[in-house]
Amino acid sequence: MTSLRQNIDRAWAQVQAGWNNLVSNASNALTRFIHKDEENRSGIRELVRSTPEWGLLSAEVHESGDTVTVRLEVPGMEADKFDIEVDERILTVSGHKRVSHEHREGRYHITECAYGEFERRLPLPAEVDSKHASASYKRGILTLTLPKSEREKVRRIPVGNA
Amino acid sequence: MALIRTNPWSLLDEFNREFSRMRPGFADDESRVVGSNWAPAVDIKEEQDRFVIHADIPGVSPEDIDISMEKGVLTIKGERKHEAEENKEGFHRIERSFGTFMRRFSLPENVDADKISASSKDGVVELVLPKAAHDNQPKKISVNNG
Repeated sequence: MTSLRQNIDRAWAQVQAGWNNLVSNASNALTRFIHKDEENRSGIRELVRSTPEWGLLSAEVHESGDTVTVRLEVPGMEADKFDIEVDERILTVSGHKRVSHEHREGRYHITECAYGEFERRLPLPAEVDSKHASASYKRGILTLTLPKSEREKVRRIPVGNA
Repeated sequence: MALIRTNPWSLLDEFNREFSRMRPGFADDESRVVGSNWAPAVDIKEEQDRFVIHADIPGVSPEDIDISMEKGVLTIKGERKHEAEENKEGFHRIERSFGTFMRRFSLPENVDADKISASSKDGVVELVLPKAAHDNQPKKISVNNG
C-alpha cells in the first residue's frame, strides 16, 4: 500500500514536472482547441470529447529582404477553412479542425490528435502589406507569404557610399 | 533578435510518456523510440474487423514515410525535410521539428500484414489494418459424449 502511494506520488510529480517544462518552453505553440457541440454525428461527438483540448500548432517565421514567410503545421484542415488576419504586426490564424473520416462503431485506444476551434497569434518581425499577402496549404502546412509594407522597405534601404 | 530554438514536440512526448505509464492496457511502451527527433500524434481506433490509425504527419511527403509490421509490432517512421532552402539568419521563430520520426505500437490482436493500406491527405496519414480473419471468432470446443 505504501509503495503504491509512493508510485502514485512519483508519477504525479513527474507529470507536474513535465507539464511545467512543457508550459515554460512550448507555450507559444500550445494552442487551445475548443470543443464545439455542433458535431452531431453520433460517435464523432464522443471522439471529439475524448481528444485533448490542447494541441501544438508549430510555427516558423522567416524574414528576408522584402518578405516575411510564416509556416504553420495544421494537419487535417481544408484549405478554404482558414481565417487569416493581419492587424498591425500581429498575424492571427484561426479555424475549426473537424473529424473528416466517416464514423464506424469502435473503441478508441489512443486519442492524441486535437480537434475543435483554434486560434494562433504570431507577432511579425516587420509591418506587412496584407493586401498582397498570399497563402497556400499543402500536406498540412499553411504557408503565408507576406510582402513587407512600402514603409518598411523604405526604412530598410541601406545607404551606400557615394 | 536572439533566436531560441524550442522543441515542443520532445516535451510533449515526455508528458505523454508519463501519462501512458499511468494508463496501462494498450501497449504503448515502446511507442516512442530513442533516437528519433520527433513523434507524431495519433488516434488509434479498434473496430470489429480492423484497426484504423490516424497520424498527424504534416510536411512529410508520402515517399518519406515508411510503414512496416513485424511480429505484431507496427512501426511508422520517416523523415521530415524542410520545404525550402532559406537563409538561416532570417528565422525569428522555429517551433517545428525536422529530421527522423518514429512511433511503434504492439497491437492487441493479430493483423493481416499483407492487407494493411495507407493513404495520406493534408498531412494526416490514415492506416487501415484488417484483423487476421481466423482470430475473429472465439474457438468453440464441443464436448463429446463418451
